[in-house]
Amino acid sequence: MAAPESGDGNNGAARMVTLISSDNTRFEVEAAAASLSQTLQLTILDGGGGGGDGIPLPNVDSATLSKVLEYCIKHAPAAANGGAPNATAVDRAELERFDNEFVNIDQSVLYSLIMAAHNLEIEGLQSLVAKKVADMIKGKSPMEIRRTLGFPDPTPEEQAEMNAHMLEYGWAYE
Amino acid sequence: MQPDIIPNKRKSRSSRKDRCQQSPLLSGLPDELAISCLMRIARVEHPNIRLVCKRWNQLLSGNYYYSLRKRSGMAEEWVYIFKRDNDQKLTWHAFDPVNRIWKSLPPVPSEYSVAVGFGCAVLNGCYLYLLGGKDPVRGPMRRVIFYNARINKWLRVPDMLHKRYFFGSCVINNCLFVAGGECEGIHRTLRSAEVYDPNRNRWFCIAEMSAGMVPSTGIVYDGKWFLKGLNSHRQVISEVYLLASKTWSTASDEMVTGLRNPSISFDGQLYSTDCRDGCKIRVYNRETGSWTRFMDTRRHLGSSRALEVAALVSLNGKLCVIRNNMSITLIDITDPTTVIEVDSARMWETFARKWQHRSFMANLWSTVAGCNLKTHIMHCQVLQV
Repeated sequence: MAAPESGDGNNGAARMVTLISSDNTRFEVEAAAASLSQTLQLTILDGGGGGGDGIPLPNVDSATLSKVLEYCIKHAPAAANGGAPNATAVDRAELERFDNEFVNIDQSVLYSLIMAAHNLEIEGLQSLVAKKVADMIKGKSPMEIRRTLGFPDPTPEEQAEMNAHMLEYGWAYE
Repeated sequence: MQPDIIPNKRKSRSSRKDRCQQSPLLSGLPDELAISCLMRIARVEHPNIRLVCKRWNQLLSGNYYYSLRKRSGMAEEWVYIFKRDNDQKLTWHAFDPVNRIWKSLPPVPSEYSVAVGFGCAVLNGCYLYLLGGKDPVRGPMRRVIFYNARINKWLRVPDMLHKRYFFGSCVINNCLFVAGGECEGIHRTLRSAEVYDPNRNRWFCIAEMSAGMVPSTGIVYDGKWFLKGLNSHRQVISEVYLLASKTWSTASDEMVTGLRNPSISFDGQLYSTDCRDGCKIRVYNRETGSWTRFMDTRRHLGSSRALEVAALVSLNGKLCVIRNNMSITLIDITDPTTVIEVDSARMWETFARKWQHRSFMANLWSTVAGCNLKTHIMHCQVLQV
């Protein structure tokens, strides 16, 4: 994970770009990692983000951006291999382990990641976080789902509608 | 059960009010992003998530959610089986191949519960049609109903132009074709054919076959619909409908003579079972114009009625063999040595005992106690949601 704003002079090393979060923190990362974002890719191809300029990201705060970049750095090598068709099983298992751990986070962080992945158009991250939300629902009763996702308790009216639906579609809940 | 026709009950004033006041699908996320999460929820969870709140129920009641699932490759295929038990009542159940469980479904509308010779077809991947057939009391029917797997309801569409039963049916370009069959009257064996276009929601006559036929086998191959069956003199005849010219002609090559039930047009190739239990499969070779052995599991299961193949369907890109005992075998066409036996028959026995016990309790007139699991499969289809 690149620290905010390190010095120049990595001659011959991978090209670096600087991203600036909404709260003005600067992140320097390899262009290849940042290019996982479709939004950033074009700017970077145009030569943006280098030197002292940096690319401002007014919709992403530093906590979220640092998490997003953690994902990008981990996934950049595989992405460079064209979706890793020649990756070894070990590599794939390692990425999968990383992904599972990566989304093991609070719901508020997860939602921020969903927004950021959408704004930055990072396809892999978008489906990873969306799938996590779907997995949080898996195997739970409607009431458990409501609690997990922070819904308020159902009103008597909602409860009545629920019961009516159960009655009509009783066969579906056997 | 009467098919529900869902009225277009949009109360404009209250719905506008609803929209202003309605809570987000997921609190803290714009709806667009919430949907991108919710569309990934497995189909088996759908009845449950409909109960979470009104908005989720609305989302799962509309087409948008499902078209998004389809477009994103999230849609799941389940096998649907119509069968007749010893009490002659038609029942149907769905099998979820991912979770390997059988699911209950809304009862088949009463007009089909004792009907014979009705057709069954799928349009749009998720609408299952039952059509025609003969009711033992009221006689042949023109009726057409369909089950919408997205909203789990039976609905009705316009009747066919002719009453018919034991006819042939197929789907080409998402239109439903029917031909031949039997009816009452002087010309019992029908030559007539018709097509249902779901976009225009009506039936149209197409050219008549050259002779009346009660089809026993049919297949769509190379943009042609091949039908083989018996004419009014109980002789085997075959005809082919050419979609391009909208005409019928006779067909008598090796492909048609070798065509047997059940068969399937899968990935541009024709497959047919070569043994009653489906342990051997044949494929039609268009270069040599002959049927050849495609695969042989070398594990003959037996020749009883229960082990007989009822249908071949395409399931999640695999060739799926379904037997009367509700067992399912999946074959990877690209590698026919990879044969997956799905444990569906054992799952079925457990499920059916529970289910039959319930229906026995619900209907004390029923004389079949919950131990008779003998079934005869009428139709198998795959629906994607």
